[in-house]
Amino acid sequence: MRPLFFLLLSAGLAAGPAGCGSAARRIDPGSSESLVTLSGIDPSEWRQAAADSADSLLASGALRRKDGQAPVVMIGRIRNQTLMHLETGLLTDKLRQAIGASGQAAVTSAVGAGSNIDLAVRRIRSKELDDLFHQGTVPRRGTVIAPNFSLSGAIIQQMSESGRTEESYFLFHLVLTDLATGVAVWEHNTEFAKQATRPLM
Amino acid sequence: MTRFSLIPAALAAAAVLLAGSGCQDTVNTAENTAKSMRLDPVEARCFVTDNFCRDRLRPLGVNRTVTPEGFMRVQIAIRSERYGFWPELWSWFMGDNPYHVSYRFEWLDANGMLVRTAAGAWRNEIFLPGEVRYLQSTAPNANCRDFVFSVKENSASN
Repeated sequence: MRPLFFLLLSAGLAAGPAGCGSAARRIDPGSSESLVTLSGIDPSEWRQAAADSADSLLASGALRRKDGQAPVVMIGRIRNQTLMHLETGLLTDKLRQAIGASGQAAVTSAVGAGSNIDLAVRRIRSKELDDLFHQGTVPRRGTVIAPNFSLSGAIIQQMSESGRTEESYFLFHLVLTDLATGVAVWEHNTEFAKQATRPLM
Repeated sequence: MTRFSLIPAALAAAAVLLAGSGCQDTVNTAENTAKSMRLDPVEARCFVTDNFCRDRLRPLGVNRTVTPEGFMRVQIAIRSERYGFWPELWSWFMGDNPYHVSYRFEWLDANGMLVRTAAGAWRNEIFLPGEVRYLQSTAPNANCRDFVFSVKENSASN
C-alpha cells in the first residue's frame, strides 16, 4: 500500500510543474520580456549594435565624397570570431536600410558578402545570347556602378570565468573603407558584457 | 524577547544595512566651471507615466546640433539620482543598483510622420548612482526636424 502511495505522490509532484508552462505568445521586441542569455547575442543586442553603428556613421560625415556625388557602399564581410554560428544579416540588413534611407549614399547589391549580393545582376547579363529575351531589354555589360566604400567588420567574443560566475563579452567592430585609397574613414565599436552565476546545486 | 535584547538586534540589522549600502559603486565627477562650449538647448516637454523612473533619473538638458550634411543631432544629458544615504539604501534593498533602462529616439519628418529606421530601436543603458550619461541620436535623414525621446525601466537585464 505504501509504495503505491509514494508512487502517486511522486507522480503528482512531477505533474505539478509540467502544468505551469505557457503557450507561445507575441512579445514586443523592445520589451523587458525578451530573453537575456549569457553566451549568445540576443535580439535586443543586434538591434542596439545596428542602431548605434548607423547613428555614428550618419553623424560622422565619412560618406561624403570630394566631388559632391552620392557614394555607393558595398556591404562586405562581417567576420564571426565567436564560438557560435551567427547570422550577420541581422546586423547588415539594418545598416543597409539606414544608409539607403539617409540619402547620404546608395547601397549596391552587385558585390558584397553573404545575403548582401544579388546574383541576378550578373545572371541577367548572361542572357545576352538567349533568343528567349528581347535583346534590347537585357542590361548591357559595363553599366554596373562600382562601389566607393566598403563596410566590413568583425564580431568578437571572449568568455571568462571566476568561481561560479561566468562573463561573456561581445565586441561589434565595424569599418568603412575608402576603396580608392584603402584608408579606413570610419570605425565604430559596440560592446556588450553579460554575467551570470551558476547555482550551487 | 525583552526590550533590551531587541536593541542589539536592531543595531545589528542597521549595521548590516549600512554595510550593504556602503558597498555600492557611485560615480564622482569633476568638471571645468567656465564652459567654453556653445549650446543650442531644446525646450522639452515631458510626459511622465512612471514616477519611479522620474525619481531615479533627472534630465539635465537637451541640446542639438546639425551635421555638415544637414542631419539634426540631439543629445540628452541624464543623471542617476540614486545617490545619498537613503536612495542608496533603498536601491540596494530593491536590487536596482546599477539602474537599467531602455531608451529610444523616434524621428518625425516635416509633416509629423514617423520615420522608421534602425536608429529607432530600443537601446539599453546602465546608470551607476550619480552618473551622468549623454544619450545621442542622429536623425535618419535630413528632412527630420522633430524627435521624441522615450525611456523606461528595463527589468530584463537586471
